[in-house]
Amino acid sequence: MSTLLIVEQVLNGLQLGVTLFLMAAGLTLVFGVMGLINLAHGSLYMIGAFCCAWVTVETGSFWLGLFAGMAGAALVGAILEVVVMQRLYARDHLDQVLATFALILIASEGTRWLFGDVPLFLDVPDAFSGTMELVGGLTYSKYRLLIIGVGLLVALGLYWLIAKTRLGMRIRAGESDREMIAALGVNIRLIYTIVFALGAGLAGLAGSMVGALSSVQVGMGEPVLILAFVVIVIGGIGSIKGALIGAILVGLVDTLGRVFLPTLFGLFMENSDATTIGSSLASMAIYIVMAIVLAVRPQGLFPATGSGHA
Amino acid sequence: MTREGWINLLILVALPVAALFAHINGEDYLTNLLSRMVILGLAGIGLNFALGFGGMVSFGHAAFFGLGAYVAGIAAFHAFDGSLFASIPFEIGGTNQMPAIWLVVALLVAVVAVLIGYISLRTSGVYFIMITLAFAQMLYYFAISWPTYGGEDGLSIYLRNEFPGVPVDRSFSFFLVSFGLLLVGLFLSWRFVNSRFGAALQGARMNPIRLSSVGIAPFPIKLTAFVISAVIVGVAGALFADLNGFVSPTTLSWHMSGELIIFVILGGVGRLLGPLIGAAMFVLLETYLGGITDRWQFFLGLILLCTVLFANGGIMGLLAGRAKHD
Amino acid sequence: MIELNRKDTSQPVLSVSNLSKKFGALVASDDVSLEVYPGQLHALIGPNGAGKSTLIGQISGLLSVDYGEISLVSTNISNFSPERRVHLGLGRSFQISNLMLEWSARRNVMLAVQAKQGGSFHFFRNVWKDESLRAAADIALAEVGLLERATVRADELSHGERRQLEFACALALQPKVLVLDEPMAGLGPEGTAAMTEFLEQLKSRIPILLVEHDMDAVFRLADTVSVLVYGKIIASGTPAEIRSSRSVQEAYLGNSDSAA
Repeated sequence: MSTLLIVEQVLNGLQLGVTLFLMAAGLTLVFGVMGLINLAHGSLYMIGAFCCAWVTVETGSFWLGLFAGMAGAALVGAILEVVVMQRLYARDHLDQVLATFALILIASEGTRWLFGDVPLFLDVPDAFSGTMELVGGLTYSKYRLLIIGVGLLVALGLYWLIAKTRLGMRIRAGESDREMIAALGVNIRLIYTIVFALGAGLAGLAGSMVGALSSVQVGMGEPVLILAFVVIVIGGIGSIKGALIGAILVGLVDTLGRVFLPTLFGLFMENSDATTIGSSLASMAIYIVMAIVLAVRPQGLFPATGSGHA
Repeated sequence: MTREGWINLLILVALPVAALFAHINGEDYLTNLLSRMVILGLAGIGLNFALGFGGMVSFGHAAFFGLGAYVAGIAAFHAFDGSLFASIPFEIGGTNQMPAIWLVVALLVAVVAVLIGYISLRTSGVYFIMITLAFAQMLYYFAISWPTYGGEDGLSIYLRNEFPGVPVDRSFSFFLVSFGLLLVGLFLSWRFVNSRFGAALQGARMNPIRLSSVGIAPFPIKLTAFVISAVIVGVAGALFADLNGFVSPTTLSWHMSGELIIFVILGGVGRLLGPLIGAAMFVLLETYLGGITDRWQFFLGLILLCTVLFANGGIMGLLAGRAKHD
Repeated sequence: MIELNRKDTSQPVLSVSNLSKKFGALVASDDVSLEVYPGQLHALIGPNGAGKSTLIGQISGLLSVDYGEISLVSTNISNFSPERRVHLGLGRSFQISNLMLEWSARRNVMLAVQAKQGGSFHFFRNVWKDESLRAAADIALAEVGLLERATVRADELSHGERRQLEFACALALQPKVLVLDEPMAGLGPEGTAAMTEFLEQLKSRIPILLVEHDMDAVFRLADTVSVLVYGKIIASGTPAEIRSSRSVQEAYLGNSDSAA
């Protein structure tokens, strides 16, 4: 087990973490500000990827595609918010879960109807294909480094938005006291739509970027969605900081677990058994971590204060 | 009797009559369809106990459904070739006797439900939804990665398990057994809801602070209800495995958990026979709409969305109006 | 502290000793001590934010105590769960009516009776037809004057009737002491007069710790008055003593004699 291998896997874990952060940030914002639990977030990820793939193929430019992925998801998000979500804010969690689950069905089957069952392929842009050399002789995929970079930039951008702008101030105020902020005359409806569209756009960005790594197909958003929920539960619902730390934690645990647990078990077990048990444990690893975190701190690691939800 | 009572009676009479009719005409396919409705309805009734009456939005009940299915499948697997499931601490073989299987399911599911419930019920709201989902996912991934029992491909049951004195390899007999269990589940659900326990449970749902302030601790009540609901769902899972002759890991997936919730919502939350109506509706849509188009889930989604937004009492709410008491 | 003027020297039913609680740097309860004696009503007054709700929270068990002791008759209940305190005889009413709104008045009280009798883990007998629960509930409803409204849903009752219903539930629990959190809040002059009379005849049966803002009611009902300011009891005595105390006037009543 070389250091190079470990560093490479850590970077992979970071890349997964950053992807999860893009998803989790939107989820946690929407729940923190509007009190809405949105299962259809994974569908927005998928819609972003499809928009990106389609536009890239039509125009030949990945960058246009990337923009289309974000914008497309944000647009769909805004429409969804106005048509469906606004009616759900006052409802209880059960209704929200059911309604957004219904949206998943509609989005998945609708996309299948439009694009069929065959996955679309999206190529990594030429400028970022291949690997580059890092410190110590390690070569790593340029594209994955791009993803990590974009993710960290978004994290910084979100921090700036929430902490330093007036919109961010209104978002934070809305998170702690919805009635008060409405009474102050702030256009709360507009803020909700913006927040939702922002979250959707981030999901679309994540989907578009990851789509080039693997493939673009219906249902791609679901595993990511579940992981994102685990992230925000670990990190604390309503907290962007929690989402970032939770996402990186989950990304690292999942990636490193999958690679090293079978090897670990192989140290004192038959190879085939080791792989089986190791992989089973690896897939369960994050849930075990989540259960431990919740057992010790039921509100997550960095719960946003004063949300008055749950 | 109230309108809801009449509707309940009608449904409970119509089902076996329809099955008898199908049996006489040799339409085994139809009989199996009715069995499917009944079994999924039982699962929904189990979930309704925790969710509808207890207010616990569990997105992880597939864990119990799948667990029941796998117990039935694994028992049949070992009974088929005489192999052992485990040798420590003592020899555990398979069995193909349904009552024995159901007993094992009830015990195993109860233990797992106590564990899951104990951790999950210390949280509430979104956290509860997520943690129940996570536990089910854990079991799902575990099942996929265990090759002995089929892994991702699932486990086949070559010979349906047996019920003493009843030839359940025949569709109509199997329907009767399933229907019998449905009636048992309904009876228990009905008595429990109207008992002191049920009053405390509904109190825990409506206003846990109030319940605590009259001197009843909500946690033990909710945990008990959670376990009872899990056991009912588990037994339904075992029946499901025998109906299909196959156990798939999808019975453990969150989609399955979602489907269970769909049965409850479609039929009407907190209504005794609601989940049965919801399950029947779902099976009908799946079979007939699914026969017309592969995209039937698109329409299911639309129906579900409209039900949640506009018809909050579900089908029973539409038919029988607001639930009455006193 | 002004000396207490007790009517009799029997043991207190409820006693709070040196209770202290902090929320970070905020001192919510500062060495608070008070007693409630049989046959008496002890009123607790103080400006908003004085820590009255926190004190009640600690007494009922919803809030933890940092330091100090709470005793019911002779039992130290400081570490007991809220439910256990209820079983030992600690009754309370809430500032904002806290009922099962979907249920009728009778069902609400029946739940309290059920809690008192125990047996919430019975699964088969029909609860709503249970005569023992029904009879006891109806007695409590009659005592507060709500028997004719027994089948009305709680969310269809008027504000005053909901208050009465809360009392019925509290009485059904056969408490040894009642802790009342602003029962007059939101009642008009008629409701307040009725409530005051009701408490007047109730206190001889069940001692009461009353938290209230309505000074007329307080001075009419109370045998002892304690004044809570910034988490600290600054004065405690008979209504007359409190009225004439300079420190209380400064801190709370203002320099005129008018009711708050």
